[in-house]
Amino acid sequence: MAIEVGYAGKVQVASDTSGTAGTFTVVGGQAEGNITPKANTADITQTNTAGYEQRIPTTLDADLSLSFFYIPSDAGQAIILSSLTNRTPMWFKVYRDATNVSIAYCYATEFPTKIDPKNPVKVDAKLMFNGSPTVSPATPLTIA
Amino acid sequence: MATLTPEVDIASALATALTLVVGTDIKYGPPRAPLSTGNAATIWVTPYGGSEPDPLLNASVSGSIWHSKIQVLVRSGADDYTDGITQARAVRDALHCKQSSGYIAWRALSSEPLYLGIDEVQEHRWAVNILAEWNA
Repeated sequence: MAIEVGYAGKVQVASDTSGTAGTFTVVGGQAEGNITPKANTADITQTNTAGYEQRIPTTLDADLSLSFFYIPSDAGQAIILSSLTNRTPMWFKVYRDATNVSIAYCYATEFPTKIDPKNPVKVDAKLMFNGSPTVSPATPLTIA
Repeated sequence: MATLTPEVDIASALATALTLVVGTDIKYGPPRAPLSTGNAATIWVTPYGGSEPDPLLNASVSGSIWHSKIQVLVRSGADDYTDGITQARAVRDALHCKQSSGYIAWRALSSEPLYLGIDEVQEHRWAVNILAEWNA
């Protein structure tokens, strides 16, 4: 297993009806993608223990974001913006290389378009996890 | 992956904006031997580096953001400083923030032409450095 280079990765998106096996579209102009599967925790520290914190994992969650240079005609960027404006869920798939992916069901919640006269127009989109992350090549981590 | 040749596109834009002819008034590469005295201002266009390209994700398809630096060298006629600086500023004005097909942006890298001195046949020289950004 070799270390993988970031520029071989990519992010694809799909509308709600596509499902995980549906038709995904590459988002154009991608500069940086992020999917962070994580477990939330509950504090179960008891006052009569020996003076240290105790926590237990609870729900599974993920942080999602994607930065890209704005391309008005791009179909992938349009899916993200549509999820936000219509408040409809979408799928977010991160390829770490050609085959290894993480997938999350989510809503787009922010589509900030920053205008700077000295740089290309860039969007740092935020997405809110809404269930069913899977991670490969490890055993899929799934929330029903 | 890279497909554009900024020095060619910049020379073409200058020819259009300043009513000049590529190959006669505008030439590629660094200036060679000084012109004989009595010639009008001449322009030379050459690439000279730029910061490292920024690869996009999915770079084999989406490409990179390229930051090409192009030097436009303006040479005056013999002992004709006024004509030369006027031409150098015209070059800057023709290129800075011009919207050119295929490019993200063209920007001047200094507010005034950089004076380079006078050569052995009394021709003044200025450099107008341009940043050309593009994606391919």
